[in-house]
Amino acid sequence: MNKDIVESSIDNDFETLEANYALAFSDALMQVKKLAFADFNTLNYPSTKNEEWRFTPILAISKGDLSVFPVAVSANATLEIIVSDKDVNSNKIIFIDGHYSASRSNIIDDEGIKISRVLDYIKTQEGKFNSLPDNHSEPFSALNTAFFNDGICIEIFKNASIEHPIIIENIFTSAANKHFIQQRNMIIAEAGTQASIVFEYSVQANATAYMNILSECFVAENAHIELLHDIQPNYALHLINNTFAAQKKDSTFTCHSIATDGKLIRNNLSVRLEEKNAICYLNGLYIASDNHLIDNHLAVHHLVPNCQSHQLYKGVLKDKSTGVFNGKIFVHKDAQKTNAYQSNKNLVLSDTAVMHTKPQLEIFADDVKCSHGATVGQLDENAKFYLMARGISKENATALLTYAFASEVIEKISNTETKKRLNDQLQKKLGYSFEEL
Amino acid sequence: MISIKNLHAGIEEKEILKGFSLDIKAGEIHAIMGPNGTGKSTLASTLAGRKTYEVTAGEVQFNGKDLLDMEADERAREGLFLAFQYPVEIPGVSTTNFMRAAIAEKRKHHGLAPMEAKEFLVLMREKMALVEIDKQFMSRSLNEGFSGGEKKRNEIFQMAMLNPLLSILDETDSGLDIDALRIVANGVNKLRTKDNAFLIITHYQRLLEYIVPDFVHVMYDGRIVKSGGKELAMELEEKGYDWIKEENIVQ
Repeated sequence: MNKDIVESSIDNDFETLEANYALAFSDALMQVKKLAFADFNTLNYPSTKNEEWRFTPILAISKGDLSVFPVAVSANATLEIIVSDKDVNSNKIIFIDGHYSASRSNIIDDEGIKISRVLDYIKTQEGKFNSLPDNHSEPFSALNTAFFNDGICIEIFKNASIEHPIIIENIFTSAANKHFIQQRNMIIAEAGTQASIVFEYSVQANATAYMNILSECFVAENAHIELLHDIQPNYALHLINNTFAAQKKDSTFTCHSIATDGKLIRNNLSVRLEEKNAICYLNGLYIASDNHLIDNHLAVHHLVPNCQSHQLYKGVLKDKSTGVFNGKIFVHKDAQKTNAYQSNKNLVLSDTAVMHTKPQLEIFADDVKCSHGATVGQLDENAKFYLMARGISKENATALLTYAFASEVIEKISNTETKKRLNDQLQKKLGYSFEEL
Repeated sequence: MISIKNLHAGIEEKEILKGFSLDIKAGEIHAIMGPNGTGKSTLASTLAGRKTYEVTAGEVQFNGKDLLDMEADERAREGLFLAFQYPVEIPGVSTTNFMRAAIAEKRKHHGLAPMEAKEFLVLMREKMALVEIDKQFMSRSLNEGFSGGEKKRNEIFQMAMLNPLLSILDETDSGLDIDALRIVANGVNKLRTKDNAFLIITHYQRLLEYIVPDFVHVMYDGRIVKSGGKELAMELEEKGYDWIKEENIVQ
């Protein structure tokens, strides 16, 4: 990467930001952005010499003529964009090329929940925004904080239970120069709440998408929050997806990171278990083909006693694709009686696909239960033969076994309709489908 | 139905089948007995098309076609069935969906339209009753956590669903208690018609008390060394396999 060119262009970008958004941002926010920009200038776009980015070259994003601003809302707004299944019962938040689309979104009037633009939220309350430590150490977090100018804030008020999944869909229509969209979201779940939130991405034909999305998630006492990152095959999607969560006592945070192909996907997921009896379930499925790359970096911080974390990540690598898994579990000194589990299983279905997996446990307490396991292998030949001995073709046997392997992750999703949709899409992706009886 | 002539097969450099020949006609039940390590299971796997075994000589005609020319899946669609000695556990695939896939491919192979869901379920129910399998097994992952007896009954259930021409039962009786043995044997007896045939591979005579064979063959060192009627099985039970071994060493 030619560092000078990138740096000079990003300096200009920040000047543009200061000039154009001075009115939109409060002084306090501008101050945060300046600090974040300084952080980014120190961290810079990571090269593969950076341990956390060793297997994930991001040149496809950082190289060449890059703008950290979304393409202007212009002709695109008049494009006919089909927003899928606009279910009148569920909140659906639509962004087109990084811009919130009020006309296409469906916000339901409900006293248990408030959905607002993130800048509006920050104007009135600044306490939680940018308060998680991960935001400052990661280059893309710093970049996001410095440059975001849109995003959504979902507040779920005390004891509210939101029945239908809340959908945040990013639609990309632009084929213009590289617009690396910085989107910032906040999810604030008060005590005793329950909700599920789904992030979807759709790249229109001929468009390319570059996005650095950061979602801060605050899960209060006895709140139960489920997130789903639903990344369906999008061959022009370049996504840095940062999800940072902090949990209070007796809460549950579940995050499903499903990516059934994309050009370059990096999930940075970090969970802080800050009070006792908090439990997190982190599930992931990645299927990559062609020369695509899907990278999952996780960090779970056990800060206090009596918390649990469960990680199940499964990958299928085809063609010349690359998969990366890095799962960190930090059990801090005081976090006695921690239960932490991690499992990463991979199927490598071609000679040219590569999987890098690295469990990383750092345990400073002495009374804990931690286990981890990673496997990289092929489909079991005995199982394949068993299927073929019943007349199932080799191709279908492979697809059926791969589906069986992968669907374990989908099965963890609680919403029945979402689960069925993802299972159907998974079958389609693997080239095999059967009618469930 | 099947004609095996001078079959030689082995694994890597080691020859296990050394000139095995056998003819089975429609409506017949043949039993192959023999001591451990004489190639009985290799025969079953080779006929079913397992790639681990390499055929070095011989020919096999199955229903007028060259069996050795076909892949395992095609052999199955043509009507050959192997009941596994060790059925494989397949997490995530239910028995129902597995059978639905298998029947769909077989019907497609024979130019038939896919089976209606209702018809399929009726067939399932009928065949489940035959082997006394409970409905709950059908939605569970294939063979996962099944007991030895349940796995073997599941094999016979699959056999009943697929209605093969030739069924090879590879030591289906091993690890079965007397009740499971009776259920398995009962299933085979009910499925027997004048148009299909069975090849039962077993170490013990026990199963043959329930499934009465037309022919009994003794296999030793990769080929058949003695053939007879059902009374041969009794004789083996009485005398053990040592006399066969001695006879063959003398030869």
